[in-house]
Amino acid sequence: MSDFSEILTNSIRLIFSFNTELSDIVFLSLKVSLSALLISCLIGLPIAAYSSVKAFFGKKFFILLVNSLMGLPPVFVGLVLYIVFSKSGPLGFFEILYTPTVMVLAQIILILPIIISISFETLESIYFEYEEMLKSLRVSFRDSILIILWDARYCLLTTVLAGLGRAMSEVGAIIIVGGNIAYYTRVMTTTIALETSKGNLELALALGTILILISISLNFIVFMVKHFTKNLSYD
Amino acid sequence: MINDIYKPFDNQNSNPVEITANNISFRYGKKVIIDRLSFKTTENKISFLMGPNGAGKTLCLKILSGILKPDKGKVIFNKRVRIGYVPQKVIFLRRSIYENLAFTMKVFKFQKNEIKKRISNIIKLTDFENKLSMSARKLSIGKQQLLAIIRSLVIKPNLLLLDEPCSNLDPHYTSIIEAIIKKASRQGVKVLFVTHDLLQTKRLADEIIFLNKGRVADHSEKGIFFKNSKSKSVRNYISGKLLK
Repeated sequence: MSDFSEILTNSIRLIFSFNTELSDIVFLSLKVSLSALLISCLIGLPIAAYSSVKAFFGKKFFILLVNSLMGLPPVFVGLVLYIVFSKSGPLGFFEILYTPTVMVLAQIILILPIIISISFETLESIYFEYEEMLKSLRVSFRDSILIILWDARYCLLTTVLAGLGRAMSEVGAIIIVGGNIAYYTRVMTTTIALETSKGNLELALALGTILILISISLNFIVFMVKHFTKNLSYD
Repeated sequence: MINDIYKPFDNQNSNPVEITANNISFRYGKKVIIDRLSFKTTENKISFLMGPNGAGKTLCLKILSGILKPDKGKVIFNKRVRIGYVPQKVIFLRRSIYENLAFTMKVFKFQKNEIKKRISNIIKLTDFENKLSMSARKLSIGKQQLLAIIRSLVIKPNLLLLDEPCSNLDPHYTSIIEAIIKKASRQGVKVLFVTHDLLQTKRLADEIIFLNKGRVADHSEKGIFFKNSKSKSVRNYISGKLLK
């Protein structure tokens, strides 16, 4: 018990010591996850909106596939990317293995299906409501997409948060493709895994606490945004 | 000034819109809903589309509005139309009352200052003049129906297609909506109105197109329709008998 309280005290001390190594790890984690989230939203939201508005051949299969990809094992994604981007791999000439770039790529592969799938459900239900009105006004396909994206913006915050949650907590893929190199590709989750195995529980617990605090803070921000924009969402 | 609100965009041309449905057929899967439907509205300004449940009235309105394409046949208008459509189930964007009206006008390329001016004028027909920033979806059913009529008028249509706009409304809102429809009609807007309400038909209609099983069973002026219709299905409908 005294061991645990000592670890806890040391980890809290570590958090407030503003240690450079710790802050670098936190900063890199946020950089990688937020980059992956931004790119996934830029790709995923238009795909979800297009799929909501357009009836195309294979649409049901596409949605089924995307839903299935939500459960993609991160370790498998890491392994495939490792093979593809290793020196002898087909895309090895890019030389991005063990860099933050490939970590972002891994996270995009993992969170893109979440962004598409959840936002598709939201956008499809809005389009289902609006369809008759938009058709009667002969609103163009492009404008229909923009209208449902705009009107769903507050609902989509939850989708974005789910994607960020998945990115921030990811460890399996990025530890393989990033290599957990100190001061370069070492992020919170991979450091927690490494330091725990080394028995350095103070640093692992400090990072775990920061990870949870970030998660709670993001949830809180989204909650507040939704709360204060409740009247603006006109739902 | 207030009558300007109702004037259609092409008010220099006083001829009302004439609608010709030419041999229209529509089916859902194997079930034929509309079967070689043909009619031509007369110069009368308010035409009613009546018939029993499942006769194809709503579907016919959706085809006329362009929401659905018929499997066969076509719809012909005698001139360029701008349609104000009010569906059975009113839908608003998840936006304010003002934004809902402005959106519709933006689709028809109204200028920003015209949008503001026209909305501030037309909203005087309602009692929610000071609630423009309120969510349109939070209005009562009656007010939503009224707003839907206003939204259809705000674009200066020359054809109003109304699908049971007064269903579930109390007499107060019904009379407001009926007054608006009458005034719009007097200003040259062609109105095609779907309803089951015989009393409302007597109050508003100039002519009635009666559908049964996806076909026109009768097309006559109001007086003839109620007193002297040759169609047995119309006589049965008026007397409250179930149509076979």
